[in-house]
Parts: sequence; structure tokens; C-alpha cells
Amino acid sequence: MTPADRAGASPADYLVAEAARQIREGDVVATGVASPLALLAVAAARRVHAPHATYLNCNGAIDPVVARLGVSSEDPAYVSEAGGRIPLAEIWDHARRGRIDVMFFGAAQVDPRGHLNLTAIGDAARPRVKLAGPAGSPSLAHWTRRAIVLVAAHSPRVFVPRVDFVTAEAAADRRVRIISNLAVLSCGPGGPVLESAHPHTSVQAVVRATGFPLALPNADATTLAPEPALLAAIAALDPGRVRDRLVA
Amino acid sequence: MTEFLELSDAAALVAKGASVVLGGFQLERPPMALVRELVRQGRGGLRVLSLPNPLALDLLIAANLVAEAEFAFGGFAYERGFVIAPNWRRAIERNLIVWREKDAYCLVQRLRAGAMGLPFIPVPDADRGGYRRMNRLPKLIDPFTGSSVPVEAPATPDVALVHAQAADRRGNLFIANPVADDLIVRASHSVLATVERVMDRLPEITVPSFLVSAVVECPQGAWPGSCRGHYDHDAAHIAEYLAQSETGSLDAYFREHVYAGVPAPGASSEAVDRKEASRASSAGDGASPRGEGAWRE
Repeated sequence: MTPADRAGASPADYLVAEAARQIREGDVVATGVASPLALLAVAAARRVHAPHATYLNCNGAIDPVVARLGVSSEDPAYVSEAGGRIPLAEIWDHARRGRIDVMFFGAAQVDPRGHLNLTAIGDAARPRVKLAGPAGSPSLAHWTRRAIVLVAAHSPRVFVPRVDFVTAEAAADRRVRIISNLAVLSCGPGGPVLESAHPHTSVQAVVRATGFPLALPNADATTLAPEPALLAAIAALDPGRVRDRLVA
Repeated sequence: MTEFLELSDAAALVAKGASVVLGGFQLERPPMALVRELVRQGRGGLRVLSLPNPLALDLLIAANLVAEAEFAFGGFAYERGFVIAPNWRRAIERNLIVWREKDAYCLVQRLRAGAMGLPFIPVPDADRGGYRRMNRLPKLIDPFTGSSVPVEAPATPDVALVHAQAADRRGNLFIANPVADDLIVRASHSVLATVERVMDRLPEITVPSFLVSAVVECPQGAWPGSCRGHYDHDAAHIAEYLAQSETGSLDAYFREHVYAGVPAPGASSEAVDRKEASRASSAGDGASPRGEGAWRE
């Protein structure tokens, strides 16, 4: 049973809603492979508060029509009624020129500086466990104006003092926002901070589930509940609640 | 001039040890019929470049045909969730292949340099993080700014394997959403294409025939991947493939789905062509084409 708060919002709803809030009206937003929660957030934001955000999907679609969350974020179905096409290579061109405002990334490990590991557990040259790999994250996370990291299962195995491999190196001069199923964190210069805990958990539980110390400037900060319109948009896009299965 | 060939004759154009780039993107339009034919013919020692195309690369690795692979990603999502390509993963963890993993940007830049005939290409910021030591890219001084920039070598694969929605009778290809196929065909020395069908007139030309060495009319050629406008990916089959991969042996899978009753590589190509053809006709009934569009007749 997925815990839901009084608004009827599950941990996945909090994660997706908080991700959607990172998208501002008029932004250019991109998603890569294997990013269903990000796709849901982008689609919900475009329905509710950012209708003029431009959405670039790495599967080749500009402004794809997302009626329902598909089986993958790169599902070719999204291309069907897209506003236009974008060759894969051009994603990097736009990012490099500073034209992508927001892109979402995943990570198997995150460290206090905001470095991400998507490469391997153990020695990357001879991995104990090979992960799926970087896709375009090393360059795109660096060049995107606001790189957002989504973590579906907040645990000390994910939030580690030192990543086994630095797949995407955090910038030295800006912080990375990390949205998990339990909390919103930020990492980077000045050290990791707990921005807010979702209401179905507690600050203590988040601290216990994080493998490095967190600064707590707002000790009682609770993540804002999803606005009714945003929650409704998420529910309409994912009536089968696939999101709850993707999130711990 | 583009040749119109049988699948077996087209795959025979891939030399053992050739460098190969795989078309399609994730589960969309992987050149699976060509890959299965390479397996049947035992075309080994391949050096494969994969912009994310995990299924085709995974099958080639499972068949022990890959000597080297260069890639950026080895996972995909389907109805049963996100999976990491099992034979790819095992080959890396057990050190069975030579592999190079890079930011997909480096692969894209290598292909762009290849397509443009450039001797090298800058890959700014590709020397950050762990891949700096893993890939040790050479650096040049930018003569205009004096700053140092890592560079990559061009990629000019011997052959690009692609699956397209259609070809016309000259060998021009139509691909509804090429993603990166329009890049890989320009970088490669030759292009082998399977197509859902041959038409008199294409909605538009995605790949001009002067790039295309051979076309094979091969409906369902991307199966068990998808081909937009024709069929979705085959989740049940992918699940079966993954389950058999987990057992550590794909012998039964290869017997049933690749060799199709043909006892050994190099055996009767007619039987194989019949098998691919019968799959096409039977799968065609059950698969509900997504009704998408203007370009469909």
C-alpha cells in the first residue's frame, strides 16, 4: 500500500510534482532515455503552469503530445503528433549553446558534491555491477542551465560519501537539486542540504536514509503538497499509477 | 546503384571483423533481422558502435560475434520495467569483450566528424569526471583562443545496419523518425537497409540511394523491436529473451528464433528466408499498426 497524505498524494506524486515545479513557463526542457518520472513531470507542468515550455524528447520529438505515460520515456508513440522533430545530435548543440533550461537525470549514486554515478558499482574498468551507462549525462548535466536529479529510492546506498565512479561531474560553482521519494536535497559548494522532507516521512528518517551528513537550515521544512491542479494533471497522465511502481 | 537483395546476400556483405554501426534508437527500428542473419552466418569479430540500441548489440554479444563495442548506454524500458541488457552486462562484468563507454556526445561527435570527412573533432568538456581517465582523449590547443580542448577521432564504420519504413525502387529510404540514422548513414562507408516495404513513391527521402548499398524488403525486420506506423515492440518476446538470457544460455532461444530449424551457421539460407518471411506474415496479423499518419497509405 502506497502511503498517501491528506491530499491523496503518494511519494511518487510528491517527487513528480516537485520535479514539475522546477519547470517555469517558457523554459526549454529536455528528457533523455529511461526517464519516465521526468516525462510525467514535464507533461504535467505543460498542462498546468508552463504551457509554453518547449519539450525536447531525445527520441526525436519536439513538443510531443503525451496523453498517457507510456512504457518508456523514449516511447516512439510520443512522436506521433509531435510539433516537430529534433535529430538526436542537436540536443547537445542546444545544451552547449545554453538553450536548454532544465533537464532531469537519474543516478545510482550521488555524493555530497552532487557528482552522479550511472556507470558501475566497483571498479569501472572491471565492474562488479555494470550499470546502464552515462547516455548523454556527462555533457548535458554540465551544459543544461538547471540539472535536476531524480532519485526514486532514497537510501544510504544511493546517497554515498563518495561515488564509485564520477559519471557526471558536478559543476564547481553551482548546486544540484535532487528530488527523491522522501525529500528535496541540494548538493554542491557549501555542502549538502536538506531543503525539505516530504510529509509522509520525517527529517530524522531522511537523515538516516542519507549516507552523508546533511545541513538542516529549515529543520521543520516540509515539501509543499502538490497543488490540486498539478495532482490532477499527474493522475490524468498516469491513471494506472505506474509512477507508484517506479518509486520506492 | 543500390542492389535489392535477399537478407542472406545482404548480410554476406558484412565482412568478419567489420566495423558496424547499429541504426534505430532504443527499441525503435533496431535492425534485428539483419542481426539474426549475421548470427546465422557467424559473422564474428565485429567492432560495433551503438548509439543507444541495446537489443541489437545484446543479441550480437550473446552470439559471441562482438570483439569490440563502443557505446553510451545499455538499458531500455518496456512493459515490465527498466532492464539492463543482460548479455551486454555479463560480457562487461566477465571481461569477455573489449569495450569503450563514453558520453553519447563523444559518439555523436565521432559520427559527425566521420560524416563531414574531418580528421578530428573537438569534444569540449569530455575530459571531465571519471571518463577523463577511462578514455584519455588527446587534447589540442584551440588556435583561436589558446585554450585546451579534448578531441575525438572520426567514426567511419564499414557498414551501417538500418531498418526503414520504406524504400523506393531506386533505393532511397524513408524513415519516419530517424533520430540518429540520418547521421550514421552519412558517417558509414556503406549502408545495408531492411525495409517494411518497397514503394513506387516515398512520402519523403530520408536517406538518398547513393548512400545505400543494398535494400532488403523484410517486413517485421525490426522485430522484436518496433517500427512506428507498422508494429509496436513485442513485449512478450522481449520478456522471453530476457528470461532465457538470465539462465546463462541462449542456445534454445537461438534454435527457436534465430536458426529456425537450420542446424548450423552457413546452412540453407532459403529455409532462413522462409522463416523470416513466415514470421512477417503471421506477426502482421496480430500486430495492430498504430494509426499514425499521413504517410501511411
